[in-house]
Amino acid sequence: MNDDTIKPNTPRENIQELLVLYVLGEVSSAERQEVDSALEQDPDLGLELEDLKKVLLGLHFSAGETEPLEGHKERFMTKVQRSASVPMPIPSSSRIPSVQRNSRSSARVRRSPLPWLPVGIGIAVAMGAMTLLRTEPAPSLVNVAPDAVVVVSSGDSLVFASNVKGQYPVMVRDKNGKMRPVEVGRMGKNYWFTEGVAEDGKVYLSCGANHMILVVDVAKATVTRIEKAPLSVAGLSIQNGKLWMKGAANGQLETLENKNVQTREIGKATKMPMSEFMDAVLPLENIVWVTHHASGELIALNAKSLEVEKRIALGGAPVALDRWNSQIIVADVSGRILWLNKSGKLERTLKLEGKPDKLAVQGDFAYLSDRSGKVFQVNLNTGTLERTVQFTHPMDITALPDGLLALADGPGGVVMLDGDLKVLKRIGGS
Amino acid sequence: MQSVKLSFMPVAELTDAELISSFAGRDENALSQLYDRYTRAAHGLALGVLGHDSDAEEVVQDCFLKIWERPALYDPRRASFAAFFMTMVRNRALDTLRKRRFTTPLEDEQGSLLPIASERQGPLESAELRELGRTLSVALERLSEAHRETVTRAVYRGQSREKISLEMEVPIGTVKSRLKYALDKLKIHMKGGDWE
Repeated sequence: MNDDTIKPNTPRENIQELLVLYVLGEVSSAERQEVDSALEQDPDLGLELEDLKKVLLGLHFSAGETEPLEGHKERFMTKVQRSASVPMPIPSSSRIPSVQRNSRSSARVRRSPLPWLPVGIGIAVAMGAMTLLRTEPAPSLVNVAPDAVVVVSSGDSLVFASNVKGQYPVMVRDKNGKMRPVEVGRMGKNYWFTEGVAEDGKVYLSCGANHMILVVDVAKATVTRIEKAPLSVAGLSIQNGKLWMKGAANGQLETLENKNVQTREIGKATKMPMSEFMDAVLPLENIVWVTHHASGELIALNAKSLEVEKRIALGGAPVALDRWNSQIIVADVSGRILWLNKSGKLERTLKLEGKPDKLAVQGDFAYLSDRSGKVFQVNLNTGTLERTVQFTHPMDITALPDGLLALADGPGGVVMLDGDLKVLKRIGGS
Repeated sequence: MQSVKLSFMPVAELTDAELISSFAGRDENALSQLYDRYTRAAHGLALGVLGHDSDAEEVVQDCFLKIWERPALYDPRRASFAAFFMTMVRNRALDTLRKRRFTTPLEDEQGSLLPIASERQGPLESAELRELGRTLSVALERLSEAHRETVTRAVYRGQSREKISLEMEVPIGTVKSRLKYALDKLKIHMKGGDWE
């Protein structure tokens, strides 16, 4: 039973191999066309396709039945009740990301052209940005990622932001490697991007210098909204259209959903330079976890009421959060990585020789970037440091869908890395 | 008491498609029935992909809510609900796995779900598919470890041929041939044959 013997395939065998990938949805558009064309000409291939589809469906059921967690039905029916006000039917032509977002997405379409503009931001700023969007410069004339500080993965694209003066601090790199500058208009001050997150083809970039969130439509490489952010915004997260923003210096957590703003003071305001605008927000089910590095705490809040449910004194300066299996992984800029269970109990700590301030989890590994030049790879299963690699000025790191990583390496540009931190490609830089 | 019995019994016998057709009237009883029919199988699949109970629950409930809000997404002429829904759950679970931090759309650019083979309708097909699942589960165990791992990575992890090649340290051509070989064997087993 060995198919690994090296022998050339016949054209039909090639198509049959492609047919398997076709059913799995793993073909390129050219391969899809090739299979479609073969299917038109070969009825037997169509029968094979139907068999393969049936096998795949059977495999969906082969995992067996499992009982969900206790109370699942009640939780589901509560969700159903909450969605009861959503109008029916919803036009099939509109692209609606998920049930929870149906009402918001469709409602936004019916609003005035600039309903999102917060009062605190000058209309002229936004209008200026929108006008300038029409004149896209030749990408070759733009220095891409001269000082990359934030990198975000959105589908097949990457978005990165640089702390530079000028019109093009934000760039979109599409799946073909084409670079597209995003016109952000004149935001009034220098840029100091602190964090970026993505959802549904949009990337949200927090700018600590201008107290705003830029919302970038990745496919169009344009700014579609500018949201007002709390002072010293550092921690940023988005979940089902709801933005979570944590101010590092002002100690406030703010949420924005459908123009409704909720604010909760969770720590004392502390004076700090912009370079210390670091914190993180991690919404998990009914709890949102927030770091307040100024006090060394990780704080659990009720995701709806924003009432503080728990304060965990971790010490040091926790600044970044991610999730791994059922655990919460915390990066402490004073030189630690911590494992907490979902109740917030500290389960493991590893000391790191550096000041890691950004964190990405990819598979069973955590990758932590340290502005002084290091990137650490930590095995989350064994709790050991696998390797430390030196870069230029790592400011942000993110996991990509294919197991790779992207590092915003300051003046070193954006660096594409494999899981062992080997450099695959370097983009831009100054 | 009699009226309760009379109103309950016909609902219990409704097909999946009939239950879904009553969603437009916001019939929560119909939704509840459909949920009970498929939640465990869907949870098993989502748990197999994600490995985490609460993530699996979220994926399954998102998919049920999707159908509740947009019942027209399901076209009974194209597929049984069992086939449609489990495909939807797998896609959504893989989406969650690939971009764990973020939520991404269920639909493709045209707003419709991925195409599914035309199958017979009715509750029998759901039973057939469950039986087929058990059959293929046995067949999977009969594959060599390399073939089983390749199938698992492709089907339950949604990994591309490149990623499988990289992680299993074999050429991409071998990944493709292993997938074809394995699925051919599963197909033979599905049809009651024996590949030995």
